[in-house]
Amino acid sequence: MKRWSILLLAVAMPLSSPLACGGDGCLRNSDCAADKTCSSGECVLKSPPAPNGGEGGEDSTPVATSGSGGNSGSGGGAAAGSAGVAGSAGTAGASSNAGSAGTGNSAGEGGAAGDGGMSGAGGQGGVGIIIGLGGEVSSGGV
Amino acid sequence: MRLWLAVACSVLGTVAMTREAQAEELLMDGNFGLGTGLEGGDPGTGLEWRRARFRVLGGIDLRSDEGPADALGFRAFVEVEKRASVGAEMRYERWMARNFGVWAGLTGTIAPETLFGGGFGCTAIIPFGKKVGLFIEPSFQALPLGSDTPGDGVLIWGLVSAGVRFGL
Repeated sequence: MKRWSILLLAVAMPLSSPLACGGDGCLRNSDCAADKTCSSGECVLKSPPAPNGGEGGEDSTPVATSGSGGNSGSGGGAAAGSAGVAGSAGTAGASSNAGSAGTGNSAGEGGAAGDGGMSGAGGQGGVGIIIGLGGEVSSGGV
Repeated sequence: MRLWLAVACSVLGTVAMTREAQAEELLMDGNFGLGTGLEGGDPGTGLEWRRARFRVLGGIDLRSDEGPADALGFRAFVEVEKRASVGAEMRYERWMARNFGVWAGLTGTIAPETLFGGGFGCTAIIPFGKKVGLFIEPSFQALPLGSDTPGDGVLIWGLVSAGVRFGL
């Protein structure tokens, strides 16, 4: 009788284990659903998604705003202020505004021209013009 | 002339007495049964054992009447738990006695995943009449190949099958 009890226990143990058929674990890939695979005793998706749900694609339409011109420098005591740096041009051909000229002092020299804006694709570059008040006319920047 | 007559008579007599030679006859037995047991393997967390999927099996054994101790067996089986899988087995059988034989062969599943390996076992028959009997068949099989192996390891089957065996 004792021998039969031991035999019954030995047979029943694997049947009652959590990994037995009907349990949540897996031993073979075919224990899992068709879209899952058995990995380390657990059914996992064959191609799990990215942790953040995937990154969105970049906007293919570039922003078409043009750069604004820089602010002119203020005039110094004896020298004209330098012009501001022109902003870079936007795309789609919109040229940037050239930097405005610095305001010369009454006895100072003309300020340096502002840098021209970088032209956008198909557009023309901006032209900086500066006129020193009270001084010589400066050449425009490109 | 008398000599030729004697030769002709003896040839005719020999031909007339010769019986038609009998061709080798193929003996066929059918099997139908159920099986289960233990299934083991290492899915990546160490060796695990569980109850093997319940299966339904059927097949035939072929043997010649000139050498009935040697037989070739074919089995098809369906595992009917979880995702049902379909498999087959081919084995060489050696019958040590009329109702007891041992065998070794190749086995595997083909769907939904593949498994391939080999094993051995024995078959005991409890006869019920001349052509019908019950068989019980313990077996051990190792399946190291295929897409259904646990963690690319070896799947082990220790099975017991039982059912009806009948002469065809």
